[in-house]
Amino acid sequence: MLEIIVTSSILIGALVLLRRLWENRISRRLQYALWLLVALRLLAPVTVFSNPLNVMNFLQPVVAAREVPERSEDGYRIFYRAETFRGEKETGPDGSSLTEEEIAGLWAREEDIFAQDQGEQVKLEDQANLELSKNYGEPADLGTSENDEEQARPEASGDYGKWENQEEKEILSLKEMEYLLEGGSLINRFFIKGYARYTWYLGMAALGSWMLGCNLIFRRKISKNRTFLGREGGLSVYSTDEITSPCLLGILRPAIYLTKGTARNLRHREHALLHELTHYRHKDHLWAFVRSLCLVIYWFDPLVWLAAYFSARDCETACDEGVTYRIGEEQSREYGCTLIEMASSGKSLGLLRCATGFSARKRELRERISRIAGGRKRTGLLVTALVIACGTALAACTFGGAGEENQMGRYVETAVELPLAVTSYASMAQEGKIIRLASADAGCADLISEDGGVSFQMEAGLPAAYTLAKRQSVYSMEAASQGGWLLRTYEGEMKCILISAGGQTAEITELAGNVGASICYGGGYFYAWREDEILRVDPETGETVFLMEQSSMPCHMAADKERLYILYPGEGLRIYDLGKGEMAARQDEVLSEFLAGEAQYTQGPAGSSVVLYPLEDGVYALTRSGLYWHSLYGEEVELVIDGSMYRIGGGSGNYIGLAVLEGEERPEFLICYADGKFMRYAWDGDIPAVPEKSLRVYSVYEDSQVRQGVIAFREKYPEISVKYEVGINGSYGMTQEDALKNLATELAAGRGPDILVMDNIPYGSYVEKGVLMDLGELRQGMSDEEYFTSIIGGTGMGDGLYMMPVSFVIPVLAGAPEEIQGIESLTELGDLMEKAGNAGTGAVIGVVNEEEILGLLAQSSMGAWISQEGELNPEAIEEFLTQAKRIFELQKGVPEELRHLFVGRPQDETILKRRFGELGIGEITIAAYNRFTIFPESPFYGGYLGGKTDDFNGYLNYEGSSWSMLPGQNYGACMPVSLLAVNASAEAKEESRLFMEYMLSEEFQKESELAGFPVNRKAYFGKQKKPEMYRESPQTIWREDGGIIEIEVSWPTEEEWKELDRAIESVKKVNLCDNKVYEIVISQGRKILEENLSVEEGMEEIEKQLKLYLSE
Amino acid sequence: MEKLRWAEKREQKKNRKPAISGRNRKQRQAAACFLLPGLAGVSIFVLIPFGNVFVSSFRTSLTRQFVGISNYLSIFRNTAFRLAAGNTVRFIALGVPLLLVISLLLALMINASPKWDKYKYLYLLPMAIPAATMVLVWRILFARQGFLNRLLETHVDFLGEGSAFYIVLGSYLWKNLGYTLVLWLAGLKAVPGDMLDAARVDGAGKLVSFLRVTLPNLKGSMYTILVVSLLNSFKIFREVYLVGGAYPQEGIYMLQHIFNNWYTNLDFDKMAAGAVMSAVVLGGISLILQRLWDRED
Repeated sequence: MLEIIVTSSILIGALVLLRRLWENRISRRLQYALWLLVALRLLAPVTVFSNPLNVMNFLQPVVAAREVPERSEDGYRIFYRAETFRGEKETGPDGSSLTEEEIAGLWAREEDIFAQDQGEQVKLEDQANLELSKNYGEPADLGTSENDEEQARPEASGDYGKWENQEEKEILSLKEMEYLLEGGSLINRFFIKGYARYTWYLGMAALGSWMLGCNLIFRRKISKNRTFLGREGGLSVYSTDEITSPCLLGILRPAIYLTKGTARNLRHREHALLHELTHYRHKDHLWAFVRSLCLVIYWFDPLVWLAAYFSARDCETACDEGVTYRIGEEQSREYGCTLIEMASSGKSLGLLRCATGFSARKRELRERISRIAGGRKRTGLLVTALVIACGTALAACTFGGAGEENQMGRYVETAVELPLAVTSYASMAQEGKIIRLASADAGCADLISEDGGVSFQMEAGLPAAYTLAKRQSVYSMEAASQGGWLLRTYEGEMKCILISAGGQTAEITELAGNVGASICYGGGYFYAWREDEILRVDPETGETVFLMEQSSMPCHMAADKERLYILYPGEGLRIYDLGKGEMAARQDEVLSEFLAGEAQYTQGPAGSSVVLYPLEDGVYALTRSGLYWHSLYGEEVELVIDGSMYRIGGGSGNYIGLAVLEGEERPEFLICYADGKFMRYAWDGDIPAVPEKSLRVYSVYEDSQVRQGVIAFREKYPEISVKYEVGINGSYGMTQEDALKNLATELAAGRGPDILVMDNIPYGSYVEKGVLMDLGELRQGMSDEEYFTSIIGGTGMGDGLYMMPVSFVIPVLAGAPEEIQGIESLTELGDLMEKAGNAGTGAVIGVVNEEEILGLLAQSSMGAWISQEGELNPEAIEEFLTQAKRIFELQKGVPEELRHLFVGRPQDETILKRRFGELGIGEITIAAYNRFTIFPESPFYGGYLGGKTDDFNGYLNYEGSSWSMLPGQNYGACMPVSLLAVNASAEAKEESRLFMEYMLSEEFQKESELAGFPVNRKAYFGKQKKPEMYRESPQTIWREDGGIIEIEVSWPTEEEWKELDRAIESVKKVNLCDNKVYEIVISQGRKILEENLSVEEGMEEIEKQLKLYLSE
Repeated sequence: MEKLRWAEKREQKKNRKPAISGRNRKQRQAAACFLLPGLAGVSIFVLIPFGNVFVSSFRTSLTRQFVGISNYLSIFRNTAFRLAAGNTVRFIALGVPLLLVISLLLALMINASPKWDKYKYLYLLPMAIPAATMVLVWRILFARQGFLNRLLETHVDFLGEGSAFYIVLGSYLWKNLGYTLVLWLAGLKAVPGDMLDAARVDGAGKLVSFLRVTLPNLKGSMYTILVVSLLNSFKIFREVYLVGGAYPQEGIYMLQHIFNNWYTNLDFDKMAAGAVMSAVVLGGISLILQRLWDRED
C-alpha cells in the first residue's frame, strides 16, 4: 500500500508538471490518455513483477517496521520493534539524540514499566543502562488507582505516572515516554497501530456510500422527471429540469440529458448532443466511474484528488477537441459561443458523479475557449515520441514491486578444532566466557575454554571408575560450568552419582532406579526429572530439593537463576518460577506452541532435539529448523540462524549444548553436536545474506550419505549455498511416483536441481533424454591409485558415464570355508542349500520371509535381469525365481512371533535400507547377529558388507567360519549406493562439479560414516587405520534358547583386512538394475514363494508388465 | 406420421424466435464484454497451452530440437500406445452405448410407472461413492481370496486377468447409470404429451410412438448424455490406477496410464504427439456427431 501511494504520488506529480510543460504542444486527447497510467497504478491489485528501476528501491523507507504484535491478553503490550528513519538517531524530548544503547535500555525498561499481571501495580525498576534516568530522575510514585482495571490498562486511563526531569523540571507523561521508547513519530505509531487501516476503511465506506447515494439519488430524480426526445447516436436523449447543464449519465446504459432550455434551442441542442456523444465515444462515462473509484479508495491522498481534478479538466478539453474536429474550424466558433452562452454558474457535477457535463465554470471556461480558439493541436511525431518516452519512463519507475534488497550479512559456520577428538560429548556448560565440554568416554578429559571457545585446554574428566571398559556405563550426565558432574550410571542397577568440583562423590538415591531421567544444569544447580517429580540438586553438597510433581518425562530442561524451562514433545513448554517455588502463573504460550512441534524424544542418552538457552528476558531455542530468539512473553519467535543453510538442520543428529557469546555486531554461538562436531557461528556483515553461488541437490528419498556430504560441503565452501531437497519429505500421501512427477515438472520447466541422486530415479530415461551430463571428463581426472575406477566406471551406459556412486557394498555369504569356497552361481548356491537342508540342520540361511530371501539373492543377481541397453533377460529372471523358491522351501522357517527379536540398523537412510528391509536386515553383521540369536543351527547366512567394518571380522570369522562373495547371476559385482549425477541444464555447473569431486574425495569419504565402502581408495585404506579412541568391546549375545554367545570384536588384523581388500579388488562390475524391473520381479517373486503363482505364471506376469514398461 | 412431422416443423418454425442479428454494434460489444473473461480464461488455460503442446509434438522432450513428425511415427509404432488406445476405444465403444441404452430403458420404465419416480434419485448414490472405496470393494469382491472366488470356489485373480476389463466396464455402468437416468428422465418429461396423444389417436403403438415421437424429441438430451458419458468414461482411470498401479492388467491399460508413465519418464514429446492425436480424433468424432445431429434437424 505504501508503495502504491508513494509511486502514484510521484507519477501524479510528474504528470502535473509535464502537463504544464507540454500543454500547448500535444493534443488534448493524448494529454487526457496519460492519466490512464495513474489509474492503472492506483488500481493494480497485485504486484506482478519486481522492478529494479522502481523508485522505492532508491528511497529510504519511511518506516521499516516489523509486524505489529497483537495486543496481549492483558491489553497493554503496545510496543513493537521498528527501525525507523534508517541511519537517523532517535531524539529525546529535550532534543538530544539517543544512542542505541539508550534505546536498548529504554526497551529493557519497557518490560518493567508495562509488564504486569492483572491487578498488580506497575513496577518501575531502574536498569543499569538507563542513561535517561540520570536526566529524568526517579519516577514518581504512582500510587494506586481505585479502578484496578484501569491501572492494568494504561491506554485506557491515560497518564499513570510522571517522570520528573530533575534538571530541567520537565514533566513527561508516560505517553511521551512511550513516544521516546518507540523512537519514532506519532504518525509512525499511528499507522502501525492499525488505527490508520480502520480509518481508511471507514473513509472508504463513507465516501463510497456517498458516491453511490449521490449517483442513485441523482439518477432517480432525473428519471422521474424527464421527457424522451428521441435517440441520437445509439443513445436515448431526454430533457429534464433537474439539471443545470446537459450531461451524459449512466454506466451500463448511458443516456443524454438536456435541459429544457437547451432542448428548445436548435443550436444549443446540436452542440450539446455533439459534445455528449463525443464523451460517449471517448467512454468518458466509464472513466468518470474509474475516477470516482480511485477517489473512494484513496480518499486520504490529496494528490489523487488533484489528479482527478486535472483528469476531469483534460476530459472536457479532449472532448472539445473531438467536437471541433468533427464540426470543423468554422463551426468551432459557434460551438465556443454556445459554451459561453450556456456557461453555468451553478455547481459542477462533482468529481464523484459518474457523469460528464457540458458547461463549465468560468475559470475552466476561459481555458476551454482559448483552446477551442487556438484550434486543434496536432502533435508532431517528435513530440509524440517524447511524450511516449516520458510516459514509459514514468511507468518504468513507478510500476512493479520494489526490487528485493540485496541484504548483507549472515552467520558463518566454522568448525572449532578441539585438542581431543571424541566420538561424542555428553554435556556442555557455559558461564560467561568459560565453556566446559564433558565426555563420558572412557579415559576422556574434559575440555575447558576460558576465552569463549577460542582455545581449549584439557582438564581432568570423569573419574575412571565411571568410564570402564564397557561402553555406556554412564547412561547420562551433565557437567556444571565450574566443575563437577551429575551422572546416571549402571552398576547392576541404575544409580545417580554427584561428583563435585572438589572431587567429592555422593549418591543421589532419589534419582536411582531403572527409569529414564532428564537432567540439566543452569543457574548454579542441577535439575533432574525422575518418575513423577522434578528435583533440584546442589552441585556441591548433593542436597536435593523437591520442586514439583510431574508425571511426563520432559525431553529437555534448561534453567537460569529465575526460571526452570521444561519441554515436552507435542505438549510444549512449561515454565517453573524458581523464586516462588511453583509453576509460573503466566506461561509463554507463543514459545510453547512453537516448541511443541519441534521437540521430540531422542534415541540415546546424549543430546536432545531442542536446546534452550535462557538469557536475561528471553530464550534462545536451538531446533532442527534453526536457532531462534524469543523474548519471554513476547509475540514473536525470531529466526536468528536458518537451519537449512547450516549443519544445524542436517540429518537426525542431536545437540549437546549451546553457548552464546558477545560478538562485535551480533552474538556468536557455539554448538556442540552429538557426533562430536563443535561449530562456531559468527556474524559477518560484509558478505551477502545469501551466497551468490548456489547449488540444489535432490534425492527422491532422504539419503544419509548425501546429507552428510551437503553439511560437510557447506562447511568447506561457505560461499556456496547448498540446498538439499528430498522428494518424499513426509507429506501425507506422497508417493515415489508423485515425487518423480514433481521432478519431471521441474526439469521440463528448466528449473531442475543441479545434482540428482539417481537411486530411485529411472536413469535409463534420463540418460536417453539427455538430462544427465556426461561425467567422462571428471572420470578421466580420476586415477586408479586414488579411486576404485572399475566401480565408478561400472555405472556407465552406452558411450558415456552419467552417474557415480558415493560408496558401494559387496554381497557376501558366510559359512564353513570348505563349503562356500568356489561357489559362484545361483544354482550352485541352491545345491549347497539343499545339501544343508537335507542334513536336517534347520534354517539354512537364516531368513524368515519371502521378501528377505528374494532381497538377499537379488544382491548378487539383479544386474543380470536387464541389460544397460534395456533388454530384458527372461531366462535370468526365471532362474532367479526358481532358485529363490527352491532355497526358501528349504528354510525350516521361523515363526513370525520371533520376528520382533530381529535387530537392525534402521538409521542408514539409503537405497540399501529401502531394498533390503526396514530393519536393515540385509547387512551381513545384522544377519550374523540374528543368526546367532535366532538361528544358531543355520550353517550359512548372507548379506551385504560395507560401511561399518570394524566388527565384521568378529561376526564373519566366528568359530572358524569364513566368508566369500555371495553367489549369484552377477557374481563378483558390487552394489552402488547413492548414485550422483549432474543435470545437463544445471546453471551451477562449476559448483556441481565441485560437489561431485568433494563427495568422492578422500577428505569427505574418510571422515564420514558412509553406508558402504568409499569409492575413494585412499579413504578406504584410511578407514583401516585403527582410531585412537577405539576400544575393543566383546559382544554378548543372548540366544533365544537361553544360551549366550560371547563374540570378541576387535579391530581386524592385517590379514583380515587383506582378505577384504582382495574381495574388493576382485570387484570389476556393478550390480545395477532398473528400479521398476526390480520391483516387478520382487513383487511377482513374492507371489511365487507364497505359492499363489507357479514360476511359469509369475514369469508370464512379469513379462507382461515389463513388456508394457519397456515398450513405453 | 409424415403429416404430423411436417406440422410439427411448421409449428416449430412459427414459434422460433427471430435470430439475434448480432449486427448491432452495441449488442456485439455487450456480447464481447460478457464473453471476454471466459474466452480469456479458456485461452490462457486451454488454447495457448494446447498450442504449446502442438508445437512440442514436433520437438524433442527437453532439448527442444525440431524432429518433424518422428514423434508421431514413434507413437504409431509404440506397442504400448497402440494397446492403450485400443483399450480406450474398446471401452468407449462398449461402455458408452451400453450406458445410454440401459439408462434409457430404465428411464422409460420409471417414466411409465409413477410409483418408481420417487426412487430415481437412489440411482445417483453410486456417483457419491469415492474411488478409494470402490477400489476396496473391488478387492473384496475380486481378489484371489475375495468373495467371488469363495462363491465360485476358484482361486483366480479376476483383476489380474482379462475379466478385469469387464469389471471396470461394469463399474463404469454402475457408477454413471443414475446420472444418465436422471438426464433421460428430464428429457422424457420434456416430450410434449399432446404429441404422444396425437400419435396414439393416429393408431401408433408403443414402439412406433417411441421411435417416431419420443426418440426424436430426446435428441437434445442424447447429445448431452453422450458427451457427459464420454467424459465420464475417462474418469474410470482413477479406480483402475488405484487398483492396478501404473502397469495394470493389459486389458485395462488405458491412454491415461501411458500418458502418466510417459510423464514420469520425461517422454513429453510422445505425450504431446499422443495428446494432439487424441484431440484430433475426439474433435473429429464430435464434429461428425454434430453434423449428423444438425443434418437430422
